[in-house]
Amino acid sequence: MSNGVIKKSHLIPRTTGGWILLIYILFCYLMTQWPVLKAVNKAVPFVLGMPFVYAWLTFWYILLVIGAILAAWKVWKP
Amino acid sequence: MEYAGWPIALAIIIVYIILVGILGYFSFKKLQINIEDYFLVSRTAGFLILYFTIVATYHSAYALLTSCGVFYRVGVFFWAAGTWTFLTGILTYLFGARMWYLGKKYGYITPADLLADYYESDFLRGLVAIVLAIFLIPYMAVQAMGLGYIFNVASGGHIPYIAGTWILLFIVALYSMAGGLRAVYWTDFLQGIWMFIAIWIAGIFVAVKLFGSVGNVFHTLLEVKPQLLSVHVPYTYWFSLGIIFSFGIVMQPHLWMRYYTARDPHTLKWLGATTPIYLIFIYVPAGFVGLTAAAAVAKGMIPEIIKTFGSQDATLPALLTRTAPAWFTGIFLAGASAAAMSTADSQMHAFSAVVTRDLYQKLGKKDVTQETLVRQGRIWVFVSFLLAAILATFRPGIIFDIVAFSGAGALQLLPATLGAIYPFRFKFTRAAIIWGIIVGSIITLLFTKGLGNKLGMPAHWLNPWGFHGGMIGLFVNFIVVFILSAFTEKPSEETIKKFHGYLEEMIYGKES
Repeated sequence: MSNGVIKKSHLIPRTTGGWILLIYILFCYLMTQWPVLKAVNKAVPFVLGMPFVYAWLTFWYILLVIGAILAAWKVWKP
Repeated sequence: MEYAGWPIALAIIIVYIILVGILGYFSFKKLQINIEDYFLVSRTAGFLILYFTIVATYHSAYALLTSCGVFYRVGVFFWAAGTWTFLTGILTYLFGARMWYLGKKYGYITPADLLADYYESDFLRGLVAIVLAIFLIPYMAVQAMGLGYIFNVASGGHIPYIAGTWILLFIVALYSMAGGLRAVYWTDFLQGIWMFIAIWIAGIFVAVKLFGSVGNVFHTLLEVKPQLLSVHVPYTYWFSLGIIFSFGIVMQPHLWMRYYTARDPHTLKWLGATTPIYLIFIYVPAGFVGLTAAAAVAKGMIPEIIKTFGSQDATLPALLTRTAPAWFTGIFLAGASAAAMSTADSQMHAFSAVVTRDLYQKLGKKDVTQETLVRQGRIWVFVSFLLAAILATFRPGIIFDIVAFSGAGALQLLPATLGAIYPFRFKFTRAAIIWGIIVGSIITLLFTKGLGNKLGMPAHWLNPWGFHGGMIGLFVNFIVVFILSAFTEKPSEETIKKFHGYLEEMIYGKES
């Protein structure tokens, strides 16, 4: 860094852990969007008593929450 | 809409409101007469208090009333909420920690403080303040509408919607004026706990009471209304809401200013990791309520809610008043009131901060005492109460659409915010940001269903390709910002160093 010019962007991870986390979060998030959502958008079969698409989304939301906790524990600074 | 248990239910809600008032009074006793304490609790908020004020502020009347109503009318579509609440949670760290560093170092109080300083423009300060204030008013009105519905239904129609709206919002304004943000935080702490427990118990209670289990609710719907068990909105709309209800709401002053108040960035990091748990999973029982109501209506167990009560937003109170004992209904509707009040107080407070700080003190170039600023703050809380109550009186639409519109407006500040707090090689410029916000806001107004209709836009131009108008606004906003930034003057080297150099040092250390 000199004269206020940042050599490395803050939008891009700088560690392997950061990259793994970014890919993990993006992957889980994309599982809740089109076109995956279109493919799983159905009520049956029920999973654990829940409609299929509802159970599918719940599963990925839980993985996202786990990802956030891991991020705070291992990657995010300070 | 006769309801025999209304005196008991209403009495419990009133006791709850008195409790909130007492908390507000104690905050008033602790208030120091200076603007940092009135607007930012002297930047001393710890993890627990900040956790509950963030989640309670984010989850408004929308969370407990509208979510149940949308599940009731459109089904599992509303479980899209998981995507936007997750993003909102982690933005507490991704944006919040950076805002905190800069806010603490340079004494920022409002969003415009930060943006005007980076882009070196008083005009931008005024523009940001006006955009935030304008798009916040309908969001405040939403809380008033929610309170009106709760009082109206809980009283069996004895208290008219308008009276509930005005009386409850006035109480919120009173404790916000007196105790400042400290009162808001203390009451949010109570309300955040209450509303989460209330909706979980209410959700399980109504499902078990009417159908024996949550699983039976789903099976009944599969039989009588299967369309509610899959998503039937355009996927582009689903995606739009994910961005608007996360980035858009975080850009609003009542959440942004919370990040300034943290004790340290470590607190914000763990809030970023853990708030998604609360933010996402409050919608599970809301789904139970809405879907149970839909199954019950389809089976003829209760009357159709929109026809009977005038709005889908009355789903939760309508179901409770027909299935639960009065004391139980009172306790849980107090929880729903908590959700509305905890957001309304924060929004009134943020509106007052934006007007007092950005328009009165900074642009008005007022060199005034701290007492005068706090007095101004109180006056503007009262003005925000009047604006929200008047708008709520006219019921400008359903809560879901109004909140989406409000978030879509604030979303137009995203390019400006990214440019200021996320260093990257290409620099956004003052002129580009100003034009981006103006163009993005106008497009949002014109292309969003509801307001666009009223402004005479052709129906097929509204929410084009299924995208919310605010997403189209953001897209054009970014294009304007990138193109104009290539040709106009960048912030000075000194300012870039002040912001980006400082963030580099704080986040990655001096050696990088």
